[in-house]
Amino acid sequence: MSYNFSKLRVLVADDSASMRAIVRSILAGIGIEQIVEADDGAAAFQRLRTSQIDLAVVDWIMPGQDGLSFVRRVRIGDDSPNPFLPIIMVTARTERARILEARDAGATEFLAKPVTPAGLISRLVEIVERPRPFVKTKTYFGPCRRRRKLDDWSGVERRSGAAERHLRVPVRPAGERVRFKPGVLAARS
Amino acid sequence: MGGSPRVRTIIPPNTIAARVTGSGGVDPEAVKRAEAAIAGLKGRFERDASEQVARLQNLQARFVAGAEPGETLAEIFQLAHELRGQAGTFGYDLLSRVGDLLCRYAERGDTGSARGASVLKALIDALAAILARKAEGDGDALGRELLRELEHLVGRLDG
Repeated sequence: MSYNFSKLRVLVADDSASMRAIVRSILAGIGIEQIVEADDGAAAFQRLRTSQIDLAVVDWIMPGQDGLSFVRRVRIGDDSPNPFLPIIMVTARTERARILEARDAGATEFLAKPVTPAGLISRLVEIVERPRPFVKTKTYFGPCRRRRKLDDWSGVERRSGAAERHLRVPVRPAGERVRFKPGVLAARS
Repeated sequence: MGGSPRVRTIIPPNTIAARVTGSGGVDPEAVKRAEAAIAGLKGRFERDASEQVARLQNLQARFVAGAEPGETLAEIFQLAHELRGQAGTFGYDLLSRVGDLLCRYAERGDTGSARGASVLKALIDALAAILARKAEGDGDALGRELLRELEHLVGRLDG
């Protein structure tokens, strides 16, 4: 039986109502109707304190408290209700330095814009199937950064169709289930 | 827990997996629903993008007329950021790339030089033309040439 995601409650933080609508539509398509929205990092953190949230999808650039600050606050803030929260960081910027910055802040997954159903769903499945251990050092607390090579974080899906190539999901005959196998998700073609 | 005393490894409870039922895989019908939902937002995106480009054109006029550069560029960045972020989702890759260039332009903090103003106009004119023609994808050979020219113009400002 395919995954049933309907019990998940997802926090979507983006200052753009249109971007929130895009993410909400994709999540609703796969059965996630419990969606909590916020328009900046501070509001997102407040929602996290007042709702049981299973996953956050957060845009990097937001006025006020941005996505990166939100991730850091969730991971190491004294008032964080869930330092282990899976967080997907969404951004239009895919330079190596930016990817490293998101990783080092403690983001669980990195999703380069344009946001597509394949891209977002693959990150969700990755979080479900390949949960990452956390590490705590003097300077870092967050998902283990060694689990994947940096190349696997690179922004390969800025262009149309690249997310699908990244996933290596073949063209499917009608009725065939899409399976996102561990190892396939992060593999580069 | 494991690792050296300086690195503590923690295996947190996989609470998200506990709330997801089923044996694996994503129902292709669900993926199709998600794709259809995105397709259903395309008209709204095109209307919003046209409004955003009109606002950019007003901001450009204000910029040329000597409005406070920092504030104007911040507004330009915000609108261009929205465009570059969403356009690709709806198949407007060229629009996204030009939006990205406009973000770069706004981020570098032009102070209103004549050269900068002409680059700003070229970028916003390009956005308007792409939308008017509904040029999806990379806009074919003409689109690629346009993008190369615009990249060159923005790159020269940095040089």
